[in-house]
Amino acid sequence: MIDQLKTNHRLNDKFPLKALGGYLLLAIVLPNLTLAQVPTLSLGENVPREVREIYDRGLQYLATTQDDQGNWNGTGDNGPGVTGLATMVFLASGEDPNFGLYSNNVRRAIRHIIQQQDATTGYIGGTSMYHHGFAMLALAEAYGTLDDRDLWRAEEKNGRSIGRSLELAVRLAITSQKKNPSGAWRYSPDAADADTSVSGSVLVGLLAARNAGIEVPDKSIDQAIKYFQEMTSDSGEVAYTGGLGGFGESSARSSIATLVYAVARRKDLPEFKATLHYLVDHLESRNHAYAEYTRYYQAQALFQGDLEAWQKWNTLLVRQLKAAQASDGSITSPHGKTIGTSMSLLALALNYRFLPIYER
Amino acid sequence: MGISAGLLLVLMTSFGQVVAPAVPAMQAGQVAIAATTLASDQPDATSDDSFTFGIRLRNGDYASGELVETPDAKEWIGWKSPAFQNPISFATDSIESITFEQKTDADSPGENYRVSLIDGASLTGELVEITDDSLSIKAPDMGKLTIHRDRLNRLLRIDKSHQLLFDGLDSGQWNPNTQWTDEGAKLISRIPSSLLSVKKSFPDQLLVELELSWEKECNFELGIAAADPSFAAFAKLEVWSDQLVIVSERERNAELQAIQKVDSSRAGQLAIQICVDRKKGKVIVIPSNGEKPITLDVSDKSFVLNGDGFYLLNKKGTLQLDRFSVSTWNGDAPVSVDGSKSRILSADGKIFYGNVKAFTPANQQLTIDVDKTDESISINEFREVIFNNKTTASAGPWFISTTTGITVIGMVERIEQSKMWIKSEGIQELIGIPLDHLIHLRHPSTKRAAKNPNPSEAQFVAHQTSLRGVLADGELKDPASLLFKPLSAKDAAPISTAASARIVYLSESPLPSTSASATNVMEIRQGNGVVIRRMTNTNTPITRMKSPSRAKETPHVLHLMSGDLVPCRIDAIDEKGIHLSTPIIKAKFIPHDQVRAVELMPDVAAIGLGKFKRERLLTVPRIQRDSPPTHLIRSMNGDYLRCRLLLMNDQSLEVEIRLEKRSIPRSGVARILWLASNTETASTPGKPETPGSYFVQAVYSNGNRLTFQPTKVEGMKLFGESKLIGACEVNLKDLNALLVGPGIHQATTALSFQQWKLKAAPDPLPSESSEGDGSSGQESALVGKPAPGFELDHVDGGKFRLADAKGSIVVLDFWASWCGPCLQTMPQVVKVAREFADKKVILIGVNLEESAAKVKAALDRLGLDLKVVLDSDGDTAEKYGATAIPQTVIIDQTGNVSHVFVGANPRFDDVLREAIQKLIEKDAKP
Repeated sequence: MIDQLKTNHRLNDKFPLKALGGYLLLAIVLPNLTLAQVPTLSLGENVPREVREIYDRGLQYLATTQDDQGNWNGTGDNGPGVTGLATMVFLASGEDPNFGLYSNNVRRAIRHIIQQQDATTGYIGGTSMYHHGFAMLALAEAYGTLDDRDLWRAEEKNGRSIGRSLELAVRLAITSQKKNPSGAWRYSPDAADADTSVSGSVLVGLLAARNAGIEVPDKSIDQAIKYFQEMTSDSGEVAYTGGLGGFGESSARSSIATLVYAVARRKDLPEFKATLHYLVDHLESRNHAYAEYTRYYQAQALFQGDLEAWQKWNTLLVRQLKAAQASDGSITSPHGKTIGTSMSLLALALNYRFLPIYER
Repeated sequence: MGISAGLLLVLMTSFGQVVAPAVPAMQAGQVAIAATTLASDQPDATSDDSFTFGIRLRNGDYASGELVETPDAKEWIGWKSPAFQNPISFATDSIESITFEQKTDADSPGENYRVSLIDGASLTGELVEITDDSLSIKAPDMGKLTIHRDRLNRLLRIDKSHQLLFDGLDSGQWNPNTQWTDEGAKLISRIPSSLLSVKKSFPDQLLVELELSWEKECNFELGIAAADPSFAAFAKLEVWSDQLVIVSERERNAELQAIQKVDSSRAGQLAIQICVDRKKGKVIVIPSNGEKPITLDVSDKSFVLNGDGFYLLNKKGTLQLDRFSVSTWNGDAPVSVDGSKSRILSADGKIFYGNVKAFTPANQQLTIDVDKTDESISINEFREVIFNNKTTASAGPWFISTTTGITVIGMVERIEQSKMWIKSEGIQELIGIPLDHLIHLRHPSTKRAAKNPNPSEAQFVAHQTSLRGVLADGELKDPASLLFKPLSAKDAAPISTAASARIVYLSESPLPSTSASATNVMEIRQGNGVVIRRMTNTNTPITRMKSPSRAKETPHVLHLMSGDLVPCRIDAIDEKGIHLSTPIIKAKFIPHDQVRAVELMPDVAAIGLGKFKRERLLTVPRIQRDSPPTHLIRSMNGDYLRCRLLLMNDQSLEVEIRLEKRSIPRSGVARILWLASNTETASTPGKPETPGSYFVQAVYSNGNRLTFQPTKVEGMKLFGESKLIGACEVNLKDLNALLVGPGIHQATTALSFQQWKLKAAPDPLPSESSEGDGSSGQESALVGKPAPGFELDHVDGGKFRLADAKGSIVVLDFWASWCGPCLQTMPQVVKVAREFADKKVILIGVNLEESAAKVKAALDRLGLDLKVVLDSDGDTAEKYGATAIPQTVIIDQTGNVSHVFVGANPRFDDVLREAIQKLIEKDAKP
């Protein structure tokens, strides 16, 4: 029912007040429901205690390291993409983003992302399409969930709404794709080449936006999926940039491909079967250079593709995170603790299944 | 359980194709192997270090260390052994010998004198005075010594040219061998055909002083100027039936001289001098029986010195080497003299029969009495004085030799002021020998006491130390260390906490042989109704069996990281650890990180597991590296399963195999091993967790082990405590040995289950050279080296031999028809080679392991015309390291490899052309 509600809500995204009104009404009728994200209604009931412990400690870390501007500017990488990932950790926690424990963190983070967006081009961050992709995904996940009527303070009344910002972001991504001969994305929105890693982050953002009700042309999705198909070998390995180099084993890239095929509702493709097969066959392998990045995608890909395999893999994930989590709740990565913690927790968040993008 | 198929990885480089995968990756998970055995467990084998320096007791015990100050050494001598915290006082009459490590080279005395005494002692020093009653010398570091005239045997002026070149009593000077045992001042061989040998260059003129003794039979061979019997000796001393002979054997003739009779049927001894002059081709032997010197002429010019040195071969019986010194010899012929008269030998070889009356230092003159006439001789003109005193047996219990070349015989009075003080008969003063001059002390009449098989005694074994005695009673102080009292010691001494030692109680415990067949079971019945069953090819703990009543109570065996083996009942295993019950220890729970193995069926038969299978079993595939198996479960029938053990109860084991949960009936499980990765993190005993902690490990005669901190000794009971297993009480009678100190860790790691460690499968090696990317072809190790030779069949018949092409530049193109990049490259190579056809450039295509028909078909298809040879067994490719093709090798005009290119490249023709051009230009330069 709530799912249905959310769908309706999104369809009415241009009239958020109306949608929210209906929503609140329901909340009054059913007093046991504390707004949209109720653990008992999710698929993942009975979340194991150790998962909750890891997640809660990680949340604490992120909550306490965010600055007043909504940014995570401690050690390591930061920017709207990183903020987007951390935002999703809060959204995926099950805490009410509007009135719950971390509502301020979420609002600060979303404001930070929107402030980083170029009002004309829609480019978020202006440094890399990675940031744009992950930030776009966070906006899509927050859209309809977060009541943004009072997102901005009085002096910032001209701040964009989440929906407006997301539409702008989608437009930039589509324009960039149109200019790109491969029909996909690379670091710069003006790039003439493409890679499956950046393309994955942008495409997942687009798919999430579409799922959230933003208009994304089918042609754009089809073109991007075609690019991924071309980059997928029969054995399920996925190339990085194409051409002669870059083939080889990578659970991260095979996961990205599996995920985009699944979220684009293209599980019928032989490439989806190949990449999924590859992943199920390599459940225990880990990409040391990009461990957190890999597990972020691996979790979603396996969850989308093979629930049973995901369950096995999840056991391993919990074991690894238990060992990797520091006493302050952080999980280190070569790109910093914010990314390491966020991506690891988002991998774990499949146990909660609160994020819309996690819907199967 | 099934055997997973190996997954063959095909590695792809950008351009080249890899011929063989560097490492066949192993599929993880269920690995079933039909057979197994565990590594042998022999931590209690007797110490194998050969004792060299230190104190040796009459009962056969020994200890390394050093002398300590002892005010009254008549009864006790103090000894500081590194294995003990305090010095031990050994009863003086219990000591057989003391041998010291020479820290400095022998002081070479200046022009001075050697005085030999009738009891065999000899002193060196400056001659001070000779009077009617006595002779006095001033010995270095010992002051003036006055010797009674009756005790004098010889006075010798030491010639500077007389130098000791080799001392054969120092076992370290010979080549290492295990057949002769170094027993301080002697080397003993009890094994037939045991050889002592040294390869060393010696001067042409030598003096060899040899003293030997034997118990029953005398049959030896001494090779002179031969490093071992495989070299032709300049001369050999041999025993031929009952004759000692000197012999030289040459290709055409042999020279032989009988020296003296030896009674080789009973104990005897021999002391001879051998003068060797290789230049003049002479060997002069001076026998010990007072007979005239015997000269052997070995002036055959055909002898070629090859492998200079000496060897001593004991052919049979027990032979003891008492002296073997090689020194310089001035070539003077030994003089034949009337040995019964006192005499004076002058430096120029004259003999004066008479007595020395006096020496006065003022005028440096000796007054001698020849035929009742006094004559004077300058001190510089005489060489030796022989006094007419009869030699006697030694007059004291101790023979003491020093680095300064003296031998003192007497009683040790005291050890003080860094000197050992000796009372010697006929010498007025106490002789004070600096401790750092001592080489060896021995009691010549010592007979070893029979070993006392008192069961309450134990043998304390540490590095270079073996002492029998008892653990002394008492509460142990902090830091706890045990007190041990050696049998012949005055008091007990605390064992050093830094010493690794073993206190052996039952040295006769049955150790299984390693050569017997696997199914051979040995049963040893003990008086108390216990039957120990052992597989005779392994002494793994699995073969123990308790008496029936005991077995009911403790049917399982728990192996801990500490090396402890605890008989117990395993009740359950959960995510935290093992729940057990046992009367042996107090602990009811042991955490996982302390557990090494659990034997649920301790008497299950062991099956041999080959090295390969064992390695495979313990190799973690790359794909599983971050999620390695944590346990190895052995089934009753010998299968192994790698997994993660989650739980175990009465009925079953819950395991995770490659992330999948499975249940295994407990009845089928023989044992579970906790797999250690190569990086050991768990705390181990012997490596104290906290400063001051001190562990012992009780090794029971039935194989069980307990590690704990000792607190008290009471009779044959040892009490202690362990954080893990609680209070301990050990009856020393039940022990095979008690291990103490840091060595426990080492003994523990030698235990069978401790050896099961996982190893990560190696990563595939990237191609060393990727010439296709445009490198210079100089990366290969072959470059600059002579090209490996080969001779291969030509595809059109005939042979190609690389050696025949010397003087030309040879281009070898390794290829195969299935290799796409090779077929891309080959036309480029052919084109370039053709450009240089008139410049002595030969192109040879080396085909890898394909049939001639296949090769011809490929060449036809490509329209290529080049000479191709067939490397049908891949041998030549291997020689050239062609593990990835295409590989193109250029061999220069001198036959050396100049370039090795691997992989294809659209512009390879340019690269190849440039390389060949350079070689041609280089060759053209003068």
